[in-house]
Amino acid sequence: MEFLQPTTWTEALEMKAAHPEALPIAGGTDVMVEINFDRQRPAAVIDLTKVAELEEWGTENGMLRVGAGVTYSRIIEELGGRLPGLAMASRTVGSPQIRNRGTVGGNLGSASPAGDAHPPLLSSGALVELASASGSRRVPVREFFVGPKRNAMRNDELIAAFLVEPTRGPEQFSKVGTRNAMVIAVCSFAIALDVERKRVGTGIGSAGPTPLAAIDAEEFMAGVLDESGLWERPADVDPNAVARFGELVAAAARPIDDVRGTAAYRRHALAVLARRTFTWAWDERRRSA
Amino acid sequence: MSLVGRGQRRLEGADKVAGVTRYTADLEMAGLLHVQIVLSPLPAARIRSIDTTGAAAAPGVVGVFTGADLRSNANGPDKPLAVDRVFYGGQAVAAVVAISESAAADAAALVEVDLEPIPAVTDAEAAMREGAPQVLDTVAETSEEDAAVHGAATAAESEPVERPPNVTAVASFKRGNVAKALAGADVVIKQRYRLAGVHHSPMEPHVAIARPEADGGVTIWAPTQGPFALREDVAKTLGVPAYKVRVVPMPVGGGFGGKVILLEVLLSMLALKVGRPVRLALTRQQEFIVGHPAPGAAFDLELGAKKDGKLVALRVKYHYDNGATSGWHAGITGSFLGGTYQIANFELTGYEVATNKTPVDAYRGPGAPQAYFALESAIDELALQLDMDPIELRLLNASKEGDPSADKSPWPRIAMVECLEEAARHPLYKAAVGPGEGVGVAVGSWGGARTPAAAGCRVEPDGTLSIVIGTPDVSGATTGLAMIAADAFGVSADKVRIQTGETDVAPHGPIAAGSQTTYSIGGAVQEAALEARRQLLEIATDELEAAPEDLEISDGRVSVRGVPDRFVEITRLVAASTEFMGRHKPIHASGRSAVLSASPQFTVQIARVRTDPETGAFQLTGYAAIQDVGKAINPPEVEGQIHGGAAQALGRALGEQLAFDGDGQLRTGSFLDYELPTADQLPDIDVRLIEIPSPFGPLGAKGVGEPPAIPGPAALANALARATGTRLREVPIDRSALVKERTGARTG
Repeated sequence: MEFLQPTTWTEALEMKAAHPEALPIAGGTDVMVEINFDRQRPAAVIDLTKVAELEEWGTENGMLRVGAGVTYSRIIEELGGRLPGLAMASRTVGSPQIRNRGTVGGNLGSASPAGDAHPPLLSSGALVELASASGSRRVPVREFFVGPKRNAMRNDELIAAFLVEPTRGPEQFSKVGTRNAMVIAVCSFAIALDVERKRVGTGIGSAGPTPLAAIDAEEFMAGVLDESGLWERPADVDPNAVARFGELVAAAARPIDDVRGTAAYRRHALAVLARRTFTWAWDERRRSA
Repeated sequence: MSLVGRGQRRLEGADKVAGVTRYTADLEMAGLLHVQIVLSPLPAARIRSIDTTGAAAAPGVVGVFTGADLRSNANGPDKPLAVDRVFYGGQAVAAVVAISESAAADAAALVEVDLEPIPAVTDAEAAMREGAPQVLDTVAETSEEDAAVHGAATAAESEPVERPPNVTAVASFKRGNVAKALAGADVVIKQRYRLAGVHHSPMEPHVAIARPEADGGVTIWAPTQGPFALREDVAKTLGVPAYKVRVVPMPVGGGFGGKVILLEVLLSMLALKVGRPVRLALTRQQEFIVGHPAPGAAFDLELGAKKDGKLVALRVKYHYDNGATSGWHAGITGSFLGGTYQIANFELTGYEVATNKTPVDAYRGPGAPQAYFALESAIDELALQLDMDPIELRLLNASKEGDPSADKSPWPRIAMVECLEEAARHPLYKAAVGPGEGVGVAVGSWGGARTPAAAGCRVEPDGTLSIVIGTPDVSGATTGLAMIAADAFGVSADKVRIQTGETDVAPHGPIAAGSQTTYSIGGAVQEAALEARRQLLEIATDELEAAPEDLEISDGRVSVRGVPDRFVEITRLVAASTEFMGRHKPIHASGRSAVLSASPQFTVQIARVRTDPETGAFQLTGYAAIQDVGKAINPPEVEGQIHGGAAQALGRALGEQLAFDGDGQLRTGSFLDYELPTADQLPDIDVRLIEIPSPFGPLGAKGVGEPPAIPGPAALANALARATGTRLREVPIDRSALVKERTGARTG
C-alpha cells in the first residue's frame, strides 16, 4: 500500500490527479474500519490530516464555508450557534474520541446512508465543494448522493469544503437507535425551517440506499404554513397537518429490513421523528416570534 | 480489627488502571513466531484440497500446516485444524507460522482451500426436523465433567425417549402427574420464550504462546481461567505426562467462562513442529467466530396455578442451540426450573441440539439466565393474570431449607425468602409508577461449585506474606483471599501477595469458574496463613523465651502480650530461619481445603423503566440487585461483581445477539453490530447484600460471581410488560414490538 501525505491543498490535488485510485483518509473513523474488516485493501491512501487549509472555516457571500477536515467536536464548539441542526447531529456521532477525529468531509466521502451529518446538510440545502488539479465545482448536497456509499465525485477530485447558509430559523435533529451512542442509527431525521424564504427543509438518514430529502413533505408543510399565514403569525398548526407531514416523510423513505430494524418500523419511527422535530422546531419559532 | 467485611481496594487494580499489567500479548520472547489461522467461510463442507504452496513461498513464512499434519483424536469440530470436513463457519482449516503477525496474515490469504459445500443447518429447530442434515459425525454423550466444573451438578437423567435429529442429549426431570395437575389448575400460562446466543466479549481476545521444551513437552503462556485443566487437556492430546506441560497463568483480560482452553492445543502442536515458540492473538472479528460463545435457547412452558397463586404444575420442553458440539446446559437449566419454586408436579425435558455454528461453551451462569428468563417471565405473567403482587406470589411458592430441589435432595439453608422480602421493601419497588413507567422483578439462583484446593505460604525477608495458589484471579477474588490471610496471620492486606503459580510448582487449584474461587480456596489460604503464623511463633518462642500462646503479631513484630518491650521483628525471625548457619527451620506453610457441600445462592433484581410508546424506545431508570452472599469478604468487590454481572445480563436483553443469515454467516461479528450495553443504557445499580452465612464456605462466604448475571433479562421484560401492556418473550428485545399505534392525530 502506498501512503501519500500531502502538506498543502495544491499538493493533495496533484497527488490525487496522479493517483486517482488513492483513497482519501481524514479522521479514519470510516476508512480504518473498512481496512480492519478487510472490506477494502486500497492500493494507496492519501492522508489529508496535514493539509491545514482543510481545517479552516469562514464566511463567503453570506454563506459559511467549512473545510472538509473540520471535526465534529469543532462543529459543536465553534459553529453550534450558526449550524444548530448539524451541531445536534454531530453530538450524536460515536463517542467523544470519534467526534475528535471524524470530519464532515469524511462523512460526505463515505456517503453512507447512515452518516449522521447528512440529514442536517440535506435539510439546510448545503453545497459540497469538490476540487481537482483542474479546478473546482460546487454540487448541491441533494444531488451529491447517487447510490449506496456512492457520491458524485470524480476519481480525480477531493472534497474541499461544504457551504451552507447560517440558520434562518429553528433546526432540529433526532434519531432512533437500539442504544443512544456508539451505534448506527435505525433511522434519523433533520428539519430546518427557513423563516425568511418560507421553506421547510428535511433530511432522512438510515432509511434508504442514500440519505434522502422528503420533498413532498417539505412542500406540503411549507404550503400549510403559508396558507394560514403562520410564517408571519406563528400559532398552533393543525395536528392533522403535522400527522400528514409525518406520513409524507415516512413515504419518502426507502428502508430495508436488517438486524437493526424492519423497514416497517423505520417508516413508523420516521413519521414519529418528523412530527416531533417539527413540533419542537415550531414551538421554538413561536417562542422567538 | 478484622479486615474481612471491610472495604479493601483491589491489590492488583492500580497496575491495571495504570496500564502496567503485562498481559500475554505484551510478552516478548526470543525466537517468537506468529501464527495466523485460515478459517472456513462455509458452515458445512467437505475439504477437497488445501493448496499451501503459495503461502509457504510467501516472505517470512516458516511453515504452513493443515489438519493432515496434526495428529488428534478429538471429534471433528474440535480438532486443532479441520480434517476432511468442516462443521461450522469459522472452523480453522489451516495455520501459517511466520516471523511476524503481518507476514502470517498475508500468507494466510494465499492458502487456497477448496471446499465442497454440503447441506448445513444453523437453526436448532430446523436441525431437529426430520431430514435435517446431520451436523456431527458421531453423537458424543453430554460431558458431565464439563457441566460440573462450571457449577451445578446436572443430576439429569437421560431418558430413553425418541430423539429428534441432531439431539445429542436429553435432560429430564419429573415429579408427580403434570397432565392431571394442569387440567386441574385454575390458571395456566402457556407460552414460548426465546433467548439469542451471545458472546462473552472479553476486552482481551483469546491469545496464547506455546514454547517447545527439550523434554518433549511445552510451556504455555495463556490468560486461562483453569491452568490445571488446560495442562491436562494439552498433555492428553500430546500424549505426554501432565507435568511435561507447564502452564504459566497470565492475567486474564476478561474470561466469564470463555477462557479455559481454545488455541493452546493447536499452538503446542505447531510449536513442536517448528521447534520455536509460537503465538496466536485473535483479532476481534476472529474472536466472535472462533471464541466459543453461549448458546441460544427456547422454552415451551406451561405453568399451572390455583386461584390463590399456589403453583401446581410446570411442564417445559426446551432446547439449547449448541453449535457443533454436544452441549451440557440443559441439565443445569432443569435444576433451576424444577427447584426454585415448590411445584408438586413437573415434567422438564431439555434437548441439546447440534447446529453448524461455532461450538458453545460456558458463559457466566451457564444455563441459568436462560432458565430464569423463561421461568420468571411466566411467573410474572401469572401474577398479572391472578392480579397478585409478583413478590407475594413468589414468596407463596419459594423453596426453603429442607424443601426438595429438582433432584429431590433437600435444599440447604438458602435465602430466597430473605431476598424477596428485601425486594418488597426496596424503594424502587415501592415507589409509585407514572405513565409509561413500569417495575419488574425477577429471581435468579446458582448452585455453586466446589473443588479441593491447596495453598502455600512463606514469609518474605521484609516480613510480608507470599501466598501461592493454583487458580487465576478473574474477578478480584485474590484481594479477598489476601484479606483472609492477613487476618489469619496478623498483618494488613497490603502485606500479602497472592500469586497464581505456574502449574509446575503451584499447589493444585480449581478452575476459576462456577463462583467457586473464594468458596473453594479461602479455607486453604486461611489454613496456610495460620500455619505460617504458627511456624513464625515457634521461632519467636525460642527467641523471646515465651510460650506461643503468650505471643502476638502486630506492626511487623512478634511481642509478648502485656510486655510490649519484649519483641522481635518478623524480619529478624525470617532471617534467623533462612540465613547461612541459621538455627531455625524456614517458614514453609501449606493449607488445604475440601469444601464438602455447595452453598446455593439466590438473588432478586428489580428493574424500573420509562418507555416511549411512539417509538418503542425505553430507558432503564433504576435497578437494584439484592443478593445473598453468605458473608461479604470484601464488600466493594462483591458490589463490583454484582454491577458487572447485572450489566452483562441486561446486555442479553438490550441488544446483544449472535445473529446468523440463511447461509450460516454471522451478521453481528463486530462491535459495530454486536451491541454491548453502553453506560448511558444502564442506571446506577443499587446493591443490597444479604448475609446468611454458609455453614461450609470460608468465614460463611458463598459464591458471588454468577447470580448477578442471571435475572436481568426477565426483570427488564417484566418491567416493560407492566409499563406497556406488551409482553416480550424474546431477547434481545425488539423495540418495534413496544410501539403503540397512534389512535388519533396528535402532535408530538
